[in-house]
Amino acid sequence: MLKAENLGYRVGTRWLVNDVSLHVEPGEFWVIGGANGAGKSTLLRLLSGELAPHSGHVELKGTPLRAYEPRALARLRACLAQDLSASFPFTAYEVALMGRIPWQGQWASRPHDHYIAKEALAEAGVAHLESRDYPSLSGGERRRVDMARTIAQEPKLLLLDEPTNHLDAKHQIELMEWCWRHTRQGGCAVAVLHDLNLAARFADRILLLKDGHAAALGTPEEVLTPENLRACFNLECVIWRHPSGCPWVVPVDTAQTPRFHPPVARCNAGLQGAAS
Amino acid sequence: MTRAVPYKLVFLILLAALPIALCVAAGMGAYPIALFRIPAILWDRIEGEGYRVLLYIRLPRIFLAALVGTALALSGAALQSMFRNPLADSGLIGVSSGASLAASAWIALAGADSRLGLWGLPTAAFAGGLATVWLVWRMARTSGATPTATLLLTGIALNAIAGAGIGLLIYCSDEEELRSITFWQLGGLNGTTWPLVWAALIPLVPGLVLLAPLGRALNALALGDREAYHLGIPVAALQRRIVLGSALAVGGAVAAAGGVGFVGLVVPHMFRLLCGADNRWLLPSTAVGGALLFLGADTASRTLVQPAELPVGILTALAGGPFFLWLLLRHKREALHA
Repeated sequence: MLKAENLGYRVGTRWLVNDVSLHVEPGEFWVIGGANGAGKSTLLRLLSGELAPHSGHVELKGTPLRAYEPRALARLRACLAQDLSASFPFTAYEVALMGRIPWQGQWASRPHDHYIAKEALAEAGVAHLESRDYPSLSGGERRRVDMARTIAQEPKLLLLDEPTNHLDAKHQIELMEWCWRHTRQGGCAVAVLHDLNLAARFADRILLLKDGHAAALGTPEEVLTPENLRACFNLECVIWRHPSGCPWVVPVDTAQTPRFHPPVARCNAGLQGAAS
Repeated sequence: MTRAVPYKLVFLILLAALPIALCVAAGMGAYPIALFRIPAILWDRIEGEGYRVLLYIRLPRIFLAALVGTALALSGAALQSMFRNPLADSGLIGVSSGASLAASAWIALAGADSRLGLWGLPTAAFAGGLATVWLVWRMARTSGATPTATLLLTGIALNAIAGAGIGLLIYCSDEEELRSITFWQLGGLNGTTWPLVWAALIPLVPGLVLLAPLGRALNALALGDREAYHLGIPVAALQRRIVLGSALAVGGAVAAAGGVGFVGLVVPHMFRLLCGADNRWLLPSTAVGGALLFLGADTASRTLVQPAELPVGILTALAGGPFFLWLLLRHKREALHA
């Protein structure tokens, strides 16, 4: 569905993204990982059509991204950007309804649009916030309202830039589950994620970027190895197993990491003694 | 927080108030005309003093006041969404200061009552406003895109330069010119005739037509330029349209009425505090609300100290300011987030 060939983007003489190719099939959930400044967000913006690449090209459903009208493109792909702030007192419901803009005419919203916006708020778990002012919500709540807007857009392709920012542990899982279900229903998703364990749990394919290059590409099993993680993040890790069987990345202490605190260890030991 | 007042209700109240306000304003003045007689006078064309006062003095002025208010408020609302700043208004893209500089220059160099008479000053003001917006736009433009922040800063810089120019002109001008410049900057619609109204319509109508149907696009733009693009809005074209529409509307308004700017800032803000930010309702409501506010201010300006006139700029600030403060205090918590 989404095909990028030899993508490159530079600012001045510095290549932020250099020679990256990827081919996202319908039904696939991709995660882009990498250290800060590795070019993840830039790559996502190239895939969304927001930036024009200096080399290579992007195709969506066999048509070059440049050939799409913005509105036609917005009916196929939706983006969740990193951090949003609205300076005007829109309600959460009004923000979710904005996801319907690519499908609407100039003025009136059809009952169908209202129905979909309400459904999207419920899907994102924020139906109870619908009449609240969007700017007065907490960071995590705003994030979920933004997700509702993205859902209301009914895209085939979801592009998410660190979608789990500000979310608590449970809502992170819920959001990833929603994206995963979206891909199982024939859509596809590309998400920039910092949490490698969430990536390992949900992604079909992981692309690790290092200095704008593709450092590793494949299934979580193939990509999440101590060698790749050392190369990309300069971090020592061991790979354990999640109860579900997927890889579980555990960073190992460096020389600077504080030692595990003995009193806590004793406390834990005491609790275990009491239980047995 | 659920706001108490629904969009539709406020819009309908404003819409219903407009014809009443027009009639009341038409009746008030040095020659009072009873409200119920106005339709009869106009319909039956009863020749006489009342008919002449109404048709040749009151109506053009009232009509122009409503239009100027609409133009200022509508462009204020559109620019606030574009700059994503509730404190933005037409002053930020340089139209007011450019017009002011050109008007001051005209008064200082050609004299307020030169051979070109009544038309020279508004034409100069309009041209000055438009030229300044064009300059701001060209300078802020970088390789095809116009970043909003750069546009804002360019506008501020040119405002400062125009302010310096006005200061210089004031310094150079004599007593008579000084008085004219000051009064022009305080605004006023005295001496409005039908030809002036028709002339003002030439920029005002295209400006309003460009701005009025943008509600949904402005909603998307309020989230951010990138988000608007993701929602299928052609952002660059929309920005051009907002700037051009505002330049025409405000340029026309300022040329006709002099330096009045407060309406554009305060009317959209009032509506947001009362109802919310949905631009599909905000735009038509502020258009009507701006007409009401400016009509009220103009009517007060010509009746409060009759037969003399108070400059209308003083009154818009005097009427709008305290109401604005009251709304802010009432909605302090929401306003802090807004």
